[in-house]
Amino acid sequence: MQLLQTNSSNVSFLLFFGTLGMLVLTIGLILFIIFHQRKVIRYQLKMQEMESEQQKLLLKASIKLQEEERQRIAADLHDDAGPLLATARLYLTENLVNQEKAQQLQSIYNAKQIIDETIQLIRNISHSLMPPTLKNFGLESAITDFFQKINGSGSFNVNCRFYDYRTRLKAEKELIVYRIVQELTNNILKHSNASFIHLTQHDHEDHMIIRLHHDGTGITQEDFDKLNKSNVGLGLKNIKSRLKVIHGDILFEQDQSHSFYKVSIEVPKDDDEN
Amino acid sequence: MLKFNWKEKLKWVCFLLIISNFTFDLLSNSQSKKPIGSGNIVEAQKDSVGNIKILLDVTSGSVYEGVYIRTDSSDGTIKKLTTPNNRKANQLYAEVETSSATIQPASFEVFSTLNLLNISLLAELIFTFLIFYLHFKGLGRWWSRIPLITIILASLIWIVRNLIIGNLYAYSSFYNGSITILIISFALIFFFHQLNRPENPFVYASPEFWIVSAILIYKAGTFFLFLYGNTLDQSEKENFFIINSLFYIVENVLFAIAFLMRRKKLTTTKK
Repeated sequence: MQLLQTNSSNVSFLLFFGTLGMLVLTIGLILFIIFHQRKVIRYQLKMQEMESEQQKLLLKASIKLQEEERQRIAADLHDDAGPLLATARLYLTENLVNQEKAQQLQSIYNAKQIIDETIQLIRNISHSLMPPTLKNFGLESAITDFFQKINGSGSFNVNCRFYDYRTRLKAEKELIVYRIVQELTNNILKHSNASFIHLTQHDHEDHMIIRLHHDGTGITQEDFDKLNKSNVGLGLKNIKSRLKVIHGDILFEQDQSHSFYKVSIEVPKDDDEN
Repeated sequence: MLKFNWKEKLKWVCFLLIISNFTFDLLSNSQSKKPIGSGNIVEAQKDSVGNIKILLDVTSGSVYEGVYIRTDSSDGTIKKLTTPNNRKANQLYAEVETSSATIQPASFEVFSTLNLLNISLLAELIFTFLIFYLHFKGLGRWWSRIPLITIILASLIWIVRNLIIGNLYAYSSFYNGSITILIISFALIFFFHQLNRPENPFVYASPEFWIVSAILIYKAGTFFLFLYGNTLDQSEKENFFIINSLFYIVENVLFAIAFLMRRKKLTTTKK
């Protein structure tokens, strides 16, 4: 009988503390989930804020760049085209008819030369806004053209190789990629003290990858992210905002041998777009 | 015409679960007062271990293992039934677990609500796993199949055990413990999925969270009670069953929260 009672009290003990333990565990679990979820919400809000901050920075950078571009065009037109046309106008006054024939011819010839110069200038401005090779012959030709111009200076060796560019991207996308390559090349020329740039293009599944190698002092992804968050690095911010438009991605890295820097641009092909 | 999406179906299944629990509680309350069998104790003897063995002469109803037996002077639980060799057809030997020192020959009555408990457990398991099925349906084909397979297997085992073998009046701690462990595991899987869904951060703003919490709290709280319940004697059983009542109240309060909750289109709010 005593044995039976001890057994029964053991069961009661187990039952009481077992139930208590289960209750504590269950309530603990539910509270953990609730608090964890709250933490997640807070984290998401913070991320959203950071993202909107980043977007603001990108937008600012792109507006600033646009303004700079406009100023440059305005300056080109005002400082170069303006005086040239004014000079041409001077040659072509009403008094021209009263002058001698030889002088008339000389004036007309001078005016013609100045107008030709102006036409060339305007063509250059227009080409820098939208390279005609890009529009007519595509990204490959435009980049090759651009690199040939750099090579022409003689002090730098740039070359490019397109492996899988059979179908062209959409015109707007090509322009954006071209601008990014232009900006990256300019940056390398300006800041890296490199002696060569080598550009390759190939396809990877439904993405196009453009890779730039150079032997100068480049930046890594960490530097790129840091510069993007700071107030400097306008060009890099523009690259980022341009890539955002075409849902592309960029990766800055150093070669394993530490002698080269690589920049890879990944751009989705057109068929996944509407 | 009413159009339900599966999330509203979830509330309906939960509602059926509540109704079935409530109905079985009412039925078992009324059945607990009515004896399922009666007769006379012909003789009683104590064996060497101290168990009391009595010879029952059953005059009406039936006697099963695990039922509560009561005479004017003593009471206990029938642990084992054996049919004597040279006795009348309606006579049975019963081993009784009792707090009384002896049992005197007298008239007896047996009471049991275990048949209703077993049926209610089947209904509970079907509705509970249906709730999990409706939730897991959104996670993929395999996830939704697991609760359905569990329902089918558990129901088959229930049918074999209770109807074919004929243990409807016997309580199986093993079967019910296993089902409870399965339910708790599914609830944990549910919570795990909720944690891994960043697109729905307000988990406590959804009715299914409260429904699953209710089921988890009730099942975890009464796990040990249902596991060891049949080893307790009648008075202890009555004392400890307050645990069941308390958790039952908590469960229904949480169900009420789920029902009162209006489903909102959840989006992350901005500051």
